[in-house]
Amino acid sequence: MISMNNVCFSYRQKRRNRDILVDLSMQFAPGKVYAIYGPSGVGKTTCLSVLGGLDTPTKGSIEIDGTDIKTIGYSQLRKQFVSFVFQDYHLFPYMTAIENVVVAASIANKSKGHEAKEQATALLSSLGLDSDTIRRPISQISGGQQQRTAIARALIKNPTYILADEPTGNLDKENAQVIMGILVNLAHKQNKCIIIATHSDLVCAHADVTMKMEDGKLFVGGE
Amino acid sequence: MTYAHRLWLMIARRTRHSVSLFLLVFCLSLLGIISSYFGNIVACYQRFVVSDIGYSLKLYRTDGNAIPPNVIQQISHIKGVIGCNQEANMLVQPVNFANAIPDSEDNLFDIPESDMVRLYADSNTALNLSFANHMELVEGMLPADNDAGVIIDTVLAAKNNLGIGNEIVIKNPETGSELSIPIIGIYKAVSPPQESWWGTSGNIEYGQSPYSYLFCTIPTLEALLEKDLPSSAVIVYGKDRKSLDNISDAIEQMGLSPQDYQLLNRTENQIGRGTSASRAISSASAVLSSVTIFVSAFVLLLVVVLWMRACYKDTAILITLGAKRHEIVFDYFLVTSAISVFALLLSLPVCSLIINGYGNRMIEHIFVATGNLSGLEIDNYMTAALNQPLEWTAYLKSQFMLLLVVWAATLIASVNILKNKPAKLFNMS
Repeated sequence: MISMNNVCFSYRQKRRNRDILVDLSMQFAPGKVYAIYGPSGVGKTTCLSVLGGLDTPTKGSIEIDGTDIKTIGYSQLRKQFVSFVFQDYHLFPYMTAIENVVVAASIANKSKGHEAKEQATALLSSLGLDSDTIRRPISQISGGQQQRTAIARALIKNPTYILADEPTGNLDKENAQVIMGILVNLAHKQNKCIIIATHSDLVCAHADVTMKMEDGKLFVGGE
Repeated sequence: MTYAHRLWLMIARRTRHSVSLFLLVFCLSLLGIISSYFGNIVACYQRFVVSDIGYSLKLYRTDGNAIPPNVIQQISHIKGVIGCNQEANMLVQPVNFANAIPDSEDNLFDIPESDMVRLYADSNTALNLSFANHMELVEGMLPADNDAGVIIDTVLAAKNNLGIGNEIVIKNPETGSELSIPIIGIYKAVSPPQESWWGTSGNIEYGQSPYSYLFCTIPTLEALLEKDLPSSAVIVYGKDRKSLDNISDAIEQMGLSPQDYQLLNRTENQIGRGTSASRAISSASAVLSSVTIFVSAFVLLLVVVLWMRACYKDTAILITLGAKRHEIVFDYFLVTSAISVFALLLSLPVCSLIINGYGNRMIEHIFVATGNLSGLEIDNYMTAALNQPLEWTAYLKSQFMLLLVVWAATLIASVNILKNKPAKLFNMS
């Protein structure tokens, strides 16, 4: 379980402190899909960044199974426990789909060489990418295929927590449905905890828990 | 995927950036090496001059009279003076022995047919730079004071079965008079003596056989010439170039009549003779160095920074995948270093080809460009300097400087990138 304990996050803007997260406490359990929604600029992405150790809270703490992520180490946290999926996919543009997935395994020291390649191929295949597609440069595959590659990259490390920032934001409805299906499956069948920051009603409809972010706080909308 | 494979993908798949960095480093390396080549010629020229005539002054009487021994004694005690020597030499004909000439069949030597040997007469053989800089005594003693005696080369001695105690007979080719001199020492040449230079085909060429140098005292030469040599000149050796000015000042303060005595700075005079040529080359070297330094300091820095700007997204992705910041900096170091080292290594043979093929033509262009062609005096020293083989240590030094610029630029750019958070880097890319 990943939990936020009285987390505050603020930054200085025009000589004033701008509070983004205010005394936020929330727990996210594996096996569920969480959707955080709210207007732009409300702090959804910041919330994911803080959870993933990309930003440090000004107050409070983040814990994974009772251990502060500072103790785990931010780099180790991202190698072992947490993966990101972005709206713009953020894949290495000069690599193929399979190379993008394998590189994540190599950085996380999960697997190397032939083993990593086999795992990546299996993962990409399970996400619906054929062997021809995975060997094409990223720039030559569609947005939906890129997002599936990004999900495969997130999964190759076998993390418990996947933080997805608008994962369907650049996709058409059909592809968005497919991606959401994959994420829900991951949560329900592989016991992953999927936390999604979104504007999309479709995402919220697929989520197990929806949370509205307002004034730096999260309000649970229903389970 | 191995670590090396990942770095290779960064280099090979980001072709535009890699090629631009490669080409810039390659071109700068060429400029740096050619600049070092020119600088090397000037340095060699000065080194050859010093190797031949040392840091020396010549004090001579304009009226041809002998310099009093007390004046020489006084000069010997000036601070910075290594010693004083009176020198003379002439080509003489061997009578009871034959000159030794290197075997030209091994293609190392190209010596004019000559059976003459050169007799050096000194008041102090140890100060004679032909001996001091190129030879070492292996047996016997040096000629000293008024003793009659000669030292000869090991090869010459071996060829004629000569040893200490034997006598050689030499003939004055002008008067036909002969003189018998006992051998008191044997020396060995440790480097090619002064009358040698690098041939255009890379071999050592000699003006005379390197084994034909005989050293004796002034009285011995006087006996051969059957006349006294007026000791109207003395060579004063200083310990370095700077000391010559102090010695000159001290000699001028001795109160010698300027009408009777003239003082000549042999070192500066000789270097000065080649000044127009060496100055032209030196200027070219300075211009190329400045261009290399300017371009590497600004353009190379800029290109590396631009190269790194393309890494914003990579950096953000690597951070989100769990890579540590110092590991990312190290990755970039390896990548820029690999491209640069490859460019630097490739520039070495290319430069070697350019310098070997067009080096002299470049020098000619420099002389023409500086308008000095007609006024240049390209003496033996300059000829030897122009034919010097490449000194790779100097070139490697200039290449290392370029690598340092690349490393500095990579470090600056990496630190600049890594101070941003991934979200900002994604937005910036």
